[in-house]
Amino acid sequence: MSTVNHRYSSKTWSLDLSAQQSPLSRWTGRSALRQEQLRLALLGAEAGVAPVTWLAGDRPCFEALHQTVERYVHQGLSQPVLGPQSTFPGAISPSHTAVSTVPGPTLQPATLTQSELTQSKPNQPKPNQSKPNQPEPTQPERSLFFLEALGLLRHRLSYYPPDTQARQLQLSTLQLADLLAVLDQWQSETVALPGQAPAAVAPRRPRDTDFVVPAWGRVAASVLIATGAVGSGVYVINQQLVRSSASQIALESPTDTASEQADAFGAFPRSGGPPLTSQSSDPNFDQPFLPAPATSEEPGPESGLPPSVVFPGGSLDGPLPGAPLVLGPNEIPPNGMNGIPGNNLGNNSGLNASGRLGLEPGEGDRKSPATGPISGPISGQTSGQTSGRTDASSGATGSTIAQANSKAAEDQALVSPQQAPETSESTSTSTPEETARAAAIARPAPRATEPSAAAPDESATPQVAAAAPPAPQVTVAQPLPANAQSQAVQSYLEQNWKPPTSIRQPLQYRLQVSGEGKLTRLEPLSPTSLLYRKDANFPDLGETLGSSGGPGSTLLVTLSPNGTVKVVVEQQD
Amino acid sequence: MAPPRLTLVPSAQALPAPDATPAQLDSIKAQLDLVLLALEAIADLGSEAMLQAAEVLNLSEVVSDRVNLWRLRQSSPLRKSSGGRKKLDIEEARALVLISAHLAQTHGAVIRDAVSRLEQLTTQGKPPHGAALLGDYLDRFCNAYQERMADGDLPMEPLTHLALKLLIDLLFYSNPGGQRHLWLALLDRAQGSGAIAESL
Repeated sequence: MSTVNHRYSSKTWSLDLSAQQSPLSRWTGRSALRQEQLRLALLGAEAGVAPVTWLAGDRPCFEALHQTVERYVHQGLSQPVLGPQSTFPGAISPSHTAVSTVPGPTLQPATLTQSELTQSKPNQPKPNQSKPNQPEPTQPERSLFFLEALGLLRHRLSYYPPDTQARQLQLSTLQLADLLAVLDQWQSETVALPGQAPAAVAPRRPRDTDFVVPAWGRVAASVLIATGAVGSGVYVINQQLVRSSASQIALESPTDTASEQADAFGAFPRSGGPPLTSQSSDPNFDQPFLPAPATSEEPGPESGLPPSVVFPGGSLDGPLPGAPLVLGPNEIPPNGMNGIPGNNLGNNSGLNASGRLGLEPGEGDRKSPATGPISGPISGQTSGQTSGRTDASSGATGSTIAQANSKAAEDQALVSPQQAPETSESTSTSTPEETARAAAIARPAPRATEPSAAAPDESATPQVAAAAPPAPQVTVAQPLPANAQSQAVQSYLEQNWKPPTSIRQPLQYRLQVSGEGKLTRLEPLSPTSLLYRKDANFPDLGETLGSSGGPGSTLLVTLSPNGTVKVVVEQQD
Repeated sequence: MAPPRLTLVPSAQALPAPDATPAQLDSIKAQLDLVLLALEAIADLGSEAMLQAAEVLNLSEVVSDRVNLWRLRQSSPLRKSSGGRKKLDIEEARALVLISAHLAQTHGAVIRDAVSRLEQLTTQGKPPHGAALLGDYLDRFCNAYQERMADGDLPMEPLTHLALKLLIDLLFYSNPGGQRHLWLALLDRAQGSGAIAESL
């Protein structure tokens, strides 16, 4: 096959293509290509200015982009032009700094129902502009790309790659039309030969008629995976800490049946009493939310840990303000006890009245959402709870339960020290039920076994995200005193944070505000936070958020479903 | 690497023709007429230009002459009509779609210029009439609408907004493949907008 290079260009975009062309092109009427590599560049407004490459990737990536852009445009074109449903350009906010203040076709990266779309936009304009025909999100699955209207004439294109930081680009309507033109042209003139991966779209949301992996299947899968992932080395290292709190750990009731426990992804028995960690203060979870790596590595037998990413909440060495921690594939946390994401045991969180640590059942991935923050006290727990498989209201703490996102779940299944030994010592003192339960707890999501088919890990559908176990909250062990920046951010968010009704867990973000009061970085700290980032109504990067004149600050922002806002100063320049 | 093209003229057959209910056809007729009205206004076109486009596109059998064209457009339920043709079948609708897209592509430069000016004025917070191109477009559109449509007494503000919305739509129809976007938009609107028929 010969290599072909081609450029599709419009007034404001150029799309460069390099691929292997098949002789089959002769019969297809279009260029039949393999191994396409594309590069999309935004042309400068002035002659002589070099184009700026905005996106480079393969066909599936650009197909996803094309689908997103095309659907977004079609939604806009499908808006009725007459009647009260019309979208009037006169209603465009003169300021484009607010996020999504004007209705327009939007495509959320995850699935939102019609009502959620409407409810998730607290700044609905304008009395003369109703949107009864709010376009439904046409993409039932997640997408790498996200287009939203900033008015009738401005649009924001976001790109959420799985392995790198998200990118955003504001487009004029002309640029949007030109982008669609080059993508249309590329699509109409080329055809991909089989052998290329399909578009990077998440597996479709299961429907009622779909075959659902039964709980026992997940248990079996998780047992196998967890057994292979957890080494005895973790047990040895953590054994000391485990034993130190052995008296505090309530083994499951003898009345619990093995089947219940095997089925119980959630409950991890605990007794009441002091926390399992010797540290009195909350661990400092300073590891930002990281998308799952493309591949997961089998940890060595001595590590006992799954791949490298530490889910936020995994303070591995006690309170470590400001120091991110990333484990290598064979590294083990120095203090494995705190390797439990969200293990805010310092404040007794996660311990219910009966001393059980309720965790999300695995079926909760797709069932009713957990309630309460992962680190908050368990509510509604009674001694009557058994294996906790249905205790979604436990407000799971402690060990991370696999998220709905396959890749994120794969990496987030950081085995807690309590779990690890229990999993690994199936032949030792733990009962088979404990082993099964711990393994179930530690297991990744069912789809984690198919990493090649996994879609980008960010943003599950809201329903799935809502159903997923709540992410462990990031906390600051030693917060700095509030400063002008944090106060300004607090004030801003208190006015602008309107929690969508679909939210069940707090959203956390790490913000960097410069000395001039400008927002320089916004980092979601959980998949749900990433999903609802737009609803948090943060201003755009570069815009003034805080007050100027003071030092720059790194702030930890927590937005609760009940509307409360908490801003903590993590670091100050 | 230009691939071989089987046809140079877009074919009406390339536009899928689902079964349309009368209400959906009404919606398609109304929307098409408005698109053509917007094209007339922005590019100062007349029926002659449309007939020429039909000839280029080998659609003269469907849109044969000025009278035929007038009757096709008069079928819009928005029109002041005391008689005349009321029907527009799918083939005729597709023909008008191709003609509209062809005209939009032919006059893409002026459409693009108008949208560019609209963006600038909107960013500056100025009214769209501030640019001569836009002012002329709005005047022509509003006059034609008031002259031809049954609800000609529509207030200026929604009429202006309608004109600007259509102008932006024309930008996308002026792209290569714009006929497909127009057709799909008509179908989507028709499917979802029984409200349009009800509001007429």
